[in-house]
Amino acid sequence: MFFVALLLVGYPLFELIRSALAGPSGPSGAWHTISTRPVAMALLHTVEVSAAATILATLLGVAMALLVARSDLPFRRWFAGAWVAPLIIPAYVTGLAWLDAYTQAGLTDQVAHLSAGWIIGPVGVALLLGLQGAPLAYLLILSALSSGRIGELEDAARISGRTPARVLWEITLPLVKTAIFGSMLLVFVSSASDFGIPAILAIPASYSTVTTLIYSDLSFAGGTHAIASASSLSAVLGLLAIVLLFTSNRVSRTNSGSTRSNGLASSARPLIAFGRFRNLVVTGCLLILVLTTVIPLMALYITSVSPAFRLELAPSHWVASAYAQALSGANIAALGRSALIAAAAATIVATGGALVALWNRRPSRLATLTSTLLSLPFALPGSVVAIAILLAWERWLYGSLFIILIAYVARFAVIGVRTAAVTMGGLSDDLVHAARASGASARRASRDVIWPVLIPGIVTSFAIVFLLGIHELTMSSLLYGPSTQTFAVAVLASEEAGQTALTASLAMVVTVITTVVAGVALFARSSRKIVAAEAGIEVPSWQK
Amino acid sequence: MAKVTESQSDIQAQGRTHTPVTPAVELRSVSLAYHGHVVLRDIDLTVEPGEIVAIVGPSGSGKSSLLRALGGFLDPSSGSLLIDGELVADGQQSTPPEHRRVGFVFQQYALWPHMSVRENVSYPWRTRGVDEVGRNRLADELLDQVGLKGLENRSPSSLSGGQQQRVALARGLAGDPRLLLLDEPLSSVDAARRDELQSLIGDVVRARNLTTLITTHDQREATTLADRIVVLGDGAIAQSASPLELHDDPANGFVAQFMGALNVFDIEVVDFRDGRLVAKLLDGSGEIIARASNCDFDAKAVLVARPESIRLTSVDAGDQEGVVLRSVLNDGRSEVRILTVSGIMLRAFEPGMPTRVSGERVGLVLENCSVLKSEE
Repeated sequence: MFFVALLLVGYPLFELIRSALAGPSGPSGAWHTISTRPVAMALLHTVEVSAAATILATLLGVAMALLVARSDLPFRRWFAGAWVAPLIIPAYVTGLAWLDAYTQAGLTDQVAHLSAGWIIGPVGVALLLGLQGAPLAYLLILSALSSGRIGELEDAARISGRTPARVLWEITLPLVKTAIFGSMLLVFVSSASDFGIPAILAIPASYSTVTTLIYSDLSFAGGTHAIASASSLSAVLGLLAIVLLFTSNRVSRTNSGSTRSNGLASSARPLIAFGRFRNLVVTGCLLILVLTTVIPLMALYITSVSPAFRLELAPSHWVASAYAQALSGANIAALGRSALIAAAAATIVATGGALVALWNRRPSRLATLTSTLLSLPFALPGSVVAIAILLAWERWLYGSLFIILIAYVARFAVIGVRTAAVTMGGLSDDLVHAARASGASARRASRDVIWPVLIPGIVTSFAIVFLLGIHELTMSSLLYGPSTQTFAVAVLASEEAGQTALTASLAMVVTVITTVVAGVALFARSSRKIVAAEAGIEVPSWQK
Repeated sequence: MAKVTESQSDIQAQGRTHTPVTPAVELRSVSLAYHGHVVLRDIDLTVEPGEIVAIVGPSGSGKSSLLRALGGFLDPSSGSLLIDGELVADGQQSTPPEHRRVGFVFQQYALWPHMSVRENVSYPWRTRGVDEVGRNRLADELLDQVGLKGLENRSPSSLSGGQQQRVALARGLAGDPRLLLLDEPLSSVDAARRDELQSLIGDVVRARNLTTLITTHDQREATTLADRIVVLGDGAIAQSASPLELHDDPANGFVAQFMGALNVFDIEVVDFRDGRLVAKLLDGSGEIIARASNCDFDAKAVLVARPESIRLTSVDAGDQEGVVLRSVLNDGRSEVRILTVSGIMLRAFEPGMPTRVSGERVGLVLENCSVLKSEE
């Protein structure tokens, strides 16, 4: 097991560091690469948009969490779901949908002569990264707000004579401060490592970020210099991610151990009472949802059924020709390939994760080291993992599906391990002891007791990894070969070729598939334990 | 410690002369080390068939390890362990739990969440090859006996803590075990349900004449349920005797304190004559005068003054004088807290309602005290 982890993670990361430090011209060469103008610009741009996105996401996240957990907003439960649901749509699809909705000749331009060309470029990238990070911040802050203890402390302040507004300012916010800070670091890292949104919105504006530069280095430049440059950049990005996530872990550890409630405001006297303005606030929230999710998805759909290069608003003129193209030839092959790799990775991760977690039950240094190694790639940006895998395995596996599979397994391994570990938390030693005392042999106890308890967790990690695999763009865009395009890569290629309708219909296909898979997974998860496992996983899982 | 081994060998000798049956459980100088800590040292214990033995002691005293060693979840590092005369563990070899035929009831119930109540209870028969119809009938019978008729198809997690522990008890009884082990079965059940469950345990195991070992940290539970109590302290047996004997004649201050004695003092004997003991308290608070039938010590010792044997008299009729701090109702009798003139706090029980008023001056006679070996 340890050996497998070493091959999947340890060796590739070693190769990455070696290549970054000892490239053709040594460590000074690496420094030289980083200090060149395009690279320095990309780094600066990444920091710029990520910082803006972090501020936006944090403000939105705090507001959403307070509305759900501390206000009398009608339909809170419904909004709580609606704010998180868009997370299942891949980032590049969101980017495409916004393009179709708000750019020149887009939906709003056609309907109301309103367009926002600035969506292509840094402002749009920051806006979308922020909107994508907001649910992440929301979930983290909500879980801090849901600690029963904070509710009591607020009640204590109110009974001491404080007004709700001052209670919010003096009690609530200071107490969730660490959660806010932790979520800021997380959003920053996930924004800096995102490739899907800059790929759609930054590349056309010739605005380079670290992830797009790595992509263009490898896709268009080629050669040893490009590899060296990409690996130095990856090392910098990876280091940044690890340092920030480590800090965030340290910070959030200090406020753990809280008891959770369901997260919804339960007090009959919520801190934020809108009174007469309730309907106004509901309208505002609905408007934001419509602008950020409904209109873009509608635009994506209309684009997908319109004839090429022209948005057609009248349903009678809608055509399905783009779908016919999306579901045939090279595209359907790519879809099949994506499903195959995703399913294979999901199977390996789900069962392997359960095995690692089982092994971890008897703590040993080797088992701990294995788990740590396996959790590393998930914290790292997808581009970094892809470059590391490329450096380690290219000479044997270049251009084969296996190299993408290895990358998926390495990156998502932690989902299997952690979900199984959480499910196994419900499996106390005494459950096994009870079976043994009842006359079951060790083997029979594992068949009758351990595996049945683990299976819901295995199913859950399978679903999550399959979903992420179907989503995946960043790693496959760096690792695909002439005959191993994944579906997400096909979408990107079609976008780069300017085939608007085809791109939109491909994006619709991905959206429908992920929605269906997520729906089935939600429907299938049976025990509460799994919900907890997923909540724990979901938080970092969106930093693709 | 000398006394303990004596009483141990007494019991064994009796067992041999009067009732020549194989003991249900026998531990011969069992020691157990776990993660580098010695948790049991040199335990000798014999349990007769049908006997209910409570193993008590503070947490960390090794009582749970003792039970787990009997269940086969921990292996003794030395000594031998016999069930029904059959050697199950001897420091080298150990019969796995599934071949010991013992029932085990866990503190946190340990019910399998993916099985119904009936499936949980019938499992011990399932592993032993009883067909489904047969084992379901047996399980339903047991569930009826523990008062869970009608809940057979429920999932364990939908039951209350008390009900879950009843399921766990039924499962422990299933499969016809030759020995039932209960590891703090009542500590995660809420207080209101505890008494009911405690008498249920007593009833079902007595009806089956099933040898039972139960651990608890609650001396009242042990006293009401068990034929014999084994007090463990720091991995060794401090005393093993009937509840009455433990109460009247504790081997040392630790046992006395554990058995719920309220007035236990470390003393230095000053004078002992005609059953009248004059002693100085080691904590420096002052002198105490007590009545005891014997006192084998001429220096440090432990004095136990039982609350029910403290007589409150008129001021000049007592051995010493005290002031009533307050009197409260405690379990249907009056508990009086008194501060003696020498500055010692005493608690005394009097029958009836609390009538003493704060500040009342009383005389005190400490009857029937025990003077025990000091722990150092």
